[in-house]
Amino acid sequence: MAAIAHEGMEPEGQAYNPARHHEALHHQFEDIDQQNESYLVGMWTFLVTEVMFFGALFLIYTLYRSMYLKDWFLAHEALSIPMGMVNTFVLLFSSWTVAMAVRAAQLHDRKQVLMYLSITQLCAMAFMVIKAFEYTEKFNHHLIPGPGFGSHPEYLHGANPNFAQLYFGLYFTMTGVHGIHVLVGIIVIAYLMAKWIRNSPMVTKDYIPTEMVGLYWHFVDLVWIFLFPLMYLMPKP
Amino acid sequence: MAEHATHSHAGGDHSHIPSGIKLFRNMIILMVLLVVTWWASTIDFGNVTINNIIALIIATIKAGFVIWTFMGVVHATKLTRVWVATGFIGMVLIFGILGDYFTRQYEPVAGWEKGPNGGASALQREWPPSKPPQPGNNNFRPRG
Repeated sequence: MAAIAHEGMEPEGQAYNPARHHEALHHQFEDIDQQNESYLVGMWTFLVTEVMFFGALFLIYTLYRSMYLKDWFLAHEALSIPMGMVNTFVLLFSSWTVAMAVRAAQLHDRKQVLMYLSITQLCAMAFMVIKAFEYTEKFNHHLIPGPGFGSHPEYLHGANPNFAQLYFGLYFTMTGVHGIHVLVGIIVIAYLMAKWIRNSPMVTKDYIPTEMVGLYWHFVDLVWIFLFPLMYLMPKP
Repeated sequence: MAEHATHSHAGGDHSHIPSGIKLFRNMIILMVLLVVTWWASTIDFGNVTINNIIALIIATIKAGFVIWTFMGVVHATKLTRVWVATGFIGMVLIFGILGDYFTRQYEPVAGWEKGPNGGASALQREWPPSKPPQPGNNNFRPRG
């Protein structure tokens, strides 16, 4: 059995191991690698719950779309493919900038971390602005589920109003929940940037907090990768 | 900027630092796949299901590039990979629930017959309801 490591001590018979003396190492971990793995597994556990959460929504989508294939195709024609494309481009690009920010954090390059995180923030805000334009258009076209839905039938493109309402209900639920995740991402990235600006040891001595935020942001991107073809690019039945 | 992947041994940890070029290449691949997604959606493969399967395969490949390279699973420990796999396998298993909905038309229950829109489930009930909500009833949508 491995001896319990204490600060400044090595287990009997073992050579000096710098991983046991990392500045960011907490006392309950044997070395920094074990600590990092624990953080990553913890973050992925959270992401797994998120996958399950969105998975249930995708399940509902699959069920209803298979039932109302034709009406959902007609209803989806109200969405703007170019706007969806631009938003997907923006999120994929921001995933790269976050990955670069994490890389810069590993290299302790504060300037680059802040630069890449700033670009990510701009992308996140651009995404929300485009989404706001899309939502406003749906609102003006009376495509928000509830009383008054479909009062302008020309925007339903011939779809049955009940089934179209179901489509838009799911559209707003899924993109809305995703949008909330983007908003949370903006807040968390802003917090992380503040830590980097203040040169906080929490982020400068340990790249893991930046990595955790990065993982969350990649997950937001992952959800959109599936939402885009399913919501915007339906084939004609 | 270092072009090749390195390990941050200086701080004592053995975390993998991805190469900048590799990350950039990954982003370009994702952008190309985005265009392919759109292009595939404009092609008529003769069957909606084929279009859907192709769209989902491309989306899954894109997700794979994000998870594998951007999220660093390629260099993650085995334990982390198990957790990653658990989430996605779990999500796929959720879709087994569809087995219930899609077989309801074979059940001898009134109202679960195959409906005019294809599927068969409790969703094929009469809507809007012809009767007002009844006291003492659960007031779910009545079966058509």
